[in-house]
Amino acid sequence: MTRRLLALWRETVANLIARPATTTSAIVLLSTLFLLVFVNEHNTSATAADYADQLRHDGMFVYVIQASTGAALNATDCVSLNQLDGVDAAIAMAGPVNAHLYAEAGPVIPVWFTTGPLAQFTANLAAHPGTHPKPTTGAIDVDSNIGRIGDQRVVGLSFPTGTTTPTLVDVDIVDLSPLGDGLAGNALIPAPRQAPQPSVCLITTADDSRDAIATAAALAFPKTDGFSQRWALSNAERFEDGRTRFETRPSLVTWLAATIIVCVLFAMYARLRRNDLAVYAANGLRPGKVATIGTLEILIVNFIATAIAAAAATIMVHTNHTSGLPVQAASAALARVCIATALVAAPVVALMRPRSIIDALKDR
Amino acid sequence: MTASGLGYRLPTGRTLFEHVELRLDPGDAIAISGPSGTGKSTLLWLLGNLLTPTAGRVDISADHPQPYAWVLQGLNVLSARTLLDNSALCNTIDGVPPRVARTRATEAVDALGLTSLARTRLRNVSGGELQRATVARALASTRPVILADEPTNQLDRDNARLVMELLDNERHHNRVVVIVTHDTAALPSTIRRAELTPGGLVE
Repeated sequence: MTRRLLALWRETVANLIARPATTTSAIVLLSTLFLLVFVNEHNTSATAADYADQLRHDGMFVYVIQASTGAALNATDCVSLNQLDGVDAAIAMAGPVNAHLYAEAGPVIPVWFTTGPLAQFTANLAAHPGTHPKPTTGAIDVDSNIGRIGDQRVVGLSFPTGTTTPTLVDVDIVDLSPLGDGLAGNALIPAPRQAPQPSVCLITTADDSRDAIATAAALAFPKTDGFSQRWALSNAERFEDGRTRFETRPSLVTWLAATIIVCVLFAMYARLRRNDLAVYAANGLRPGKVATIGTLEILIVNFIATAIAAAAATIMVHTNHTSGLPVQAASAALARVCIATALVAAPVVALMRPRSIIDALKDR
Repeated sequence: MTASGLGYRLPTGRTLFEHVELRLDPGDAIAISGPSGTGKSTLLWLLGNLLTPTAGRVDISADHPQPYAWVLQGLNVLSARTLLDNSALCNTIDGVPPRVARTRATEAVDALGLTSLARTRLRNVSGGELQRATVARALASTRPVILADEPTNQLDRDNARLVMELLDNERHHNRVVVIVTHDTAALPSTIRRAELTPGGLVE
């Protein structure tokens, strides 16, 4: 049994080697197709991910509750929203108070006094490298021109209290643009004891919790009590969110389309090999084993094409230093198409098997 | 091998032949001739189970899982493979160890005067050489029945005689040999002869 299987394997390999042009063409064609699936899925996923990042940057997930004149916004109520599922971080803000940067003669910078997990809040604003949560004391917008995003600085702030010595504050340099253009160049620092009354509650939400958080916030800070609510990104509800765009990207079915194309290629290959397979059948090889030779030929070609495509994809990923979701999505698509094409090889060969050995032998 | 009441009707409705009776024992060789279009090749395919008869039956008792070795007018080759690979094919299919299959194939190739072409791919050989290649495969195998369809129609007289003699010689190895041919002049006198007519085989 093993000897006969080994003989089939040897025949298959010998057939592939005996027709180098056909074999090489098939491998090149398949590996190119597989690689195209990978690249297409990578690029489409990257575009969707960029779109999601842009939405996040524009304030898609920042909910703003403001107290109108006369309404009292309690910082504790705002910060208690951190207990809700779907809230990444909630902070209360008071201000702004104009302070001088570095010294009394330094540039004026609006400073907001915050209550709540500020570092966590700023880290959630945008998916920028370097903005990881850190036990820090404050944040300052990158437009203040004192450093780059992710840098840490100790800055001196001179408040208009009459003291001449600047208050030294540790700050992360972050991008506050998701909160709106009005906060360009502003600083957020933890509120001192004598801070003004908060007027704004800001919440960053998880991607899939926007509606739930908006509803909860509306209950906690009702309009009838003088509060207004909105997303930092105007008309955010009209935008397709990044996750939906990613999950409904048309390239999701590219692997399926590629599999169908490969099925056609396999059928053409099996048609090309019809005569030789009929020779095996005429010489007494049982139909199952004839099909095994045809299937093995295709599977070997498919396997080599898969290996080449995977190697090329790996090189591309390392060369371009790409990573994350697009690479995962592209790898999944590549795996899908490679597995699916391997699975369809046997059915295609069976479907294309000659009904008449004599006809197949004459069909040169 | 026995054929009893064997007949074949084409899908068009035309009956090629009927009432063919044939009995062949180990060591028998028969040459079947007849005018073109009488169905000689079809009869061979019926005997070799490549086609299903529309009348009658073919019975064979052999202890070999695959009893037939074919010589099929140059159609029956793996053209991208070498002469030696093709000659060893039946043995490969029968699970004969590769070295033994190779040795038998080499002997058959040598016997047919094709030694210099042993490692040549069959797509690069002439029609006559291709025909001898299919004969080499039948000779190299140990299957009990050789079915040869016009094994000499592209060969010169000397090669035709050589092929016929080699096939006839297989009788001495207790094999059954059935040859369909127009070339009765090349047949050794020791081979039984029969003519296929629409009404059956006439010996």
